[in-house]
Amino acid sequence: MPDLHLPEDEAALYVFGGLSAEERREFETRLAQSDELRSLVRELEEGAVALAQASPRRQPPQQIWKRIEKAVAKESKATVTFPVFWVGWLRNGWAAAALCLIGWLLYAFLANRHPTEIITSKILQPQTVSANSNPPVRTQVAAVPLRATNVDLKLLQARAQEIGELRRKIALMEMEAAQLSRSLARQGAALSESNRIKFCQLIPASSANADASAPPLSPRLQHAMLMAIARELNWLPVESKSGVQTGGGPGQTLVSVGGVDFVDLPPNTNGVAYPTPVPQRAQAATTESSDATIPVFVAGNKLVVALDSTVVPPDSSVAFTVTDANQNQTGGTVTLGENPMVVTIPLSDAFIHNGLIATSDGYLAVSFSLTSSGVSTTSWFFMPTSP
Amino acid sequence: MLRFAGNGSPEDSQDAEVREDARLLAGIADGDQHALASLYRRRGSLIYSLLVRMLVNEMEAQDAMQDAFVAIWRRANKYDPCRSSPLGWMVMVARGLALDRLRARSRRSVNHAAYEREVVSLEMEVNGSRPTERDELAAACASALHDLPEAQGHALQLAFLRGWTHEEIASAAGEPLGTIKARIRRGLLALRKALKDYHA
Repeated sequence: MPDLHLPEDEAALYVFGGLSAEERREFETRLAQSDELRSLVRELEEGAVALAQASPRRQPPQQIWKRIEKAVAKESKATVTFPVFWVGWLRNGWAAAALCLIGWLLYAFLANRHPTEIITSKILQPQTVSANSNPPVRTQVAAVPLRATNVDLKLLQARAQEIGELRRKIALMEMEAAQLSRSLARQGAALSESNRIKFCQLIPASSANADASAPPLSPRLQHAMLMAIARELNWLPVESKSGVQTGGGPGQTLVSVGGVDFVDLPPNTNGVAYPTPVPQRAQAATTESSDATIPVFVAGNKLVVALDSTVVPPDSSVAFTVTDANQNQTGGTVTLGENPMVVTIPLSDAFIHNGLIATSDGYLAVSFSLTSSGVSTTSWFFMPTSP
Repeated sequence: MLRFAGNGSPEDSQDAEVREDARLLAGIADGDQHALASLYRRRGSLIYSLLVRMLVNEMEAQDAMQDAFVAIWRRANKYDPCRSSPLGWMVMVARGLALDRLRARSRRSVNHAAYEREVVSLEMEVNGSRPTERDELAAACASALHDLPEAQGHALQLAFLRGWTHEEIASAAGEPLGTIKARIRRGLLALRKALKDYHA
């Protein structure tokens, strides 16, 4: 009684080369039709690779490569019959198209030519001495397909070879696409981890749709951003001991550490107190005047913004409105002193989706209302539109 | 949805490795000898280590190594990425050539004594050999192999490294054929998981 293999045992035998030629062919037919089976074979083969990896590692002696190089060079000499250019040319799709065209032209030429040729040859034969004798139609009809078949056969062989080559290239590309897609999915998943810090720069509304690169941050702003990251990672000393408590607005904490003022806005500060409607980018561009960019990062459900005098004039009262495209708003008011300032704004769950700030059109706006000499101006900054 | 720059994960680097191997195999299929040299630099050590372990003879392993890379050169145009990974394909090409050499040595006797001898020999090769370089991946895979139940590890190694058929292992070990098949399959999947865990 023949031994009946379970599909998974058969897959293991296939990987180990334990199937007979017939069993292998049958298995490969099923393999071509079943994603599940292909996946199982892949997994088993990866296990076999791990088994190979378990071998104590050794370096091959140097002379082996020289021997391989020599053997391969010898083979290449023996097998190269076309110049490299033509080999490369024949292997791409244009060659297939050109071969098809030439083949069919040849076919058309021969197909049109044969009857005359055959008739002529028949006339020259003894039985066609009589001018009235008709050429044997059956012979004529039979001869044309015979010649055409030879041409077709060569053409088909060439096309089959090209199709095989193209299939291999397509499969390679599909594999690359699948790997890139997996890689993207993993990166997406990694970004949604809440413990990751995500950086970006808010850009002025006037350049929100422009491709121009953002101007460099001032050294003080860079310093403030680095301090903010260090603080987020708890690398700074305990603030109550080393920091200088300098005040802050109602419910706010303001601490100076290393020449940077840190302001933590309380949750939901003025959460609904900003009736300012968020303008569209085009409208906002007409009201703002700054060309600086503002570095921000999102850590968990906090938005951390760094400012200095290159963005906002000192002693200005800065009203934050963090607004997403769904008109969710939060923020608070701070006054910028001489030091660069890092403002931490807690965001509600409405802002956070999968660890990112979700907006319906892919941006988040921050406005700064500055009051100077009794004149109030508003600057709008946006997160760049996601690609 | 906003997108932020992310760090490359270990899986990304593993995918990049696979892509690079595939790119080199495609180059070899196009007759590029530099691609073969690059592939040799990347994978030569692994293939050679496997051949030494299978053949237990350095000189023969060196000959088999030459055969393996010449075979890779000749057959690269037949590599089908739908069927196997580039490294899996190369390992199987090298293993096939080593098994041919093992079969050509002498007619194998399949009985319990031969089974015991081979098992001892496989263990001695691992414990007694002195690897010429430290390799964390090799150590992780060896550790995963060592962690398998003893009978499973033996069946797996006899099948993969010595080319014993499932029936031969079952007969020599005095176990049902189905048990051996299941051990080998599960062993492979366990090793695969260890490899994945290592890369993760």
